[in-house]
Amino acid sequence: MSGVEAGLVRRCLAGDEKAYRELVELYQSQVFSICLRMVRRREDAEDLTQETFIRMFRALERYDPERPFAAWILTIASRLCIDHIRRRRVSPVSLTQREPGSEETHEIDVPDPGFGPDEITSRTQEEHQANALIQSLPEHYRIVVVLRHQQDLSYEEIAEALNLPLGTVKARIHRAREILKTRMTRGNENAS
Amino acid sequence: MSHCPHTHRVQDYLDDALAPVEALAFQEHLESCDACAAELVAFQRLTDVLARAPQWDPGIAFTERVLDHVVPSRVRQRLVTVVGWAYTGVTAVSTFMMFSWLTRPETPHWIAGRLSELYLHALQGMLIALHTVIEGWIRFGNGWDLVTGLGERLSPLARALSLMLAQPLVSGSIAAALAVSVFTLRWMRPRAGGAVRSRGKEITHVDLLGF
Repeated sequence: MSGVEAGLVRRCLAGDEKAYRELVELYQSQVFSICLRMVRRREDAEDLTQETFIRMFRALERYDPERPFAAWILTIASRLCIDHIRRRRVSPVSLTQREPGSEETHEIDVPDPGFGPDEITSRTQEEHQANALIQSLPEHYRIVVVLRHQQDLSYEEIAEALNLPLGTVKARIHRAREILKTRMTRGNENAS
Repeated sequence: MSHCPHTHRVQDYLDDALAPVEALAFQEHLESCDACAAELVAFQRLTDVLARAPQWDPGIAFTERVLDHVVPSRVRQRLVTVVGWAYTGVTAVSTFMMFSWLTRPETPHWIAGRLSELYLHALQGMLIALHTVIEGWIRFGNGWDLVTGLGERLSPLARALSLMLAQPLVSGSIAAALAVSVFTLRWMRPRAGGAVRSRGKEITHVDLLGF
């Protein structure tokens, strides 16, 4: 945990209400972005972000300062998102299909649903491309890609956050990258 | 592009997941393998694109919303506000219902009827209480007659006892027995701080009585 975060946590535990604001402002973008990428609806993402902070502050006394703070709060957010998806049975369009009797999956061509106009404000074509690529993934691939490439979590931290074996996390990230690489290449070919 | 059996290691190489010796060997391999080099470029490009994916800020209003739920003083304030509004609402509704009821034409008659019944019941209650007290005194008077009768019957026994107590020996023995009893009970009384003997063994006086 960095010195800034350690200081903020100490101040929060001491009851300094300014520290609460600083901690929320420091992490709300990261948490909200993960939630929005996973559940796609702004209202749901806001509710999940709020719940993440509520749980984080409730558990702050039990927080282990040896762990990276970002990994800890993103763990809370990720688990809430996964629970939400399971509960609501949100089924984003899967771009992979599993062969019967096989663990291998292959890609199928389905139009990219992307974000709705209210959900996203892509400023550039590249941002839009990145969004479209991430959003095209099934949620079990999407969460690992977001945690790895957007939040810079290590494989070990992702495994702990998602309560998955390290090998599974690694396999999912590799597989997700393969899918994205293929889609990106195909998109570039179509564009040219 | 030809297929290479080492292509699957490109991602490990990018993630720095290879051992230093393996990484060095793979780096040399990349210089001579077009398939792996192309794979490396493609994954690097993908990593660059993913890094450009924006993060969204939910805004200041959302920050305040979160703080309302986590900052202790704001949570208390919210609770007080909710309770206050609930109390105000209930009071307003009750007042309105009471006012509406009082302004109905039949309400005064209904109130007068209930008050009359109440006065009647109160009066009846008071009369019953008065009757009970008087009857009690009468019964007590009859009871006193019985007590005096019993006293007269027992008076020979009382006279015999008084004659016996008039003997100095008897009265002196009884007085001495009383004094010894008082002294013993006083010695057995609980003492502040407990009774600790000089040897350090605690003696509770209740133990001496066998309890």
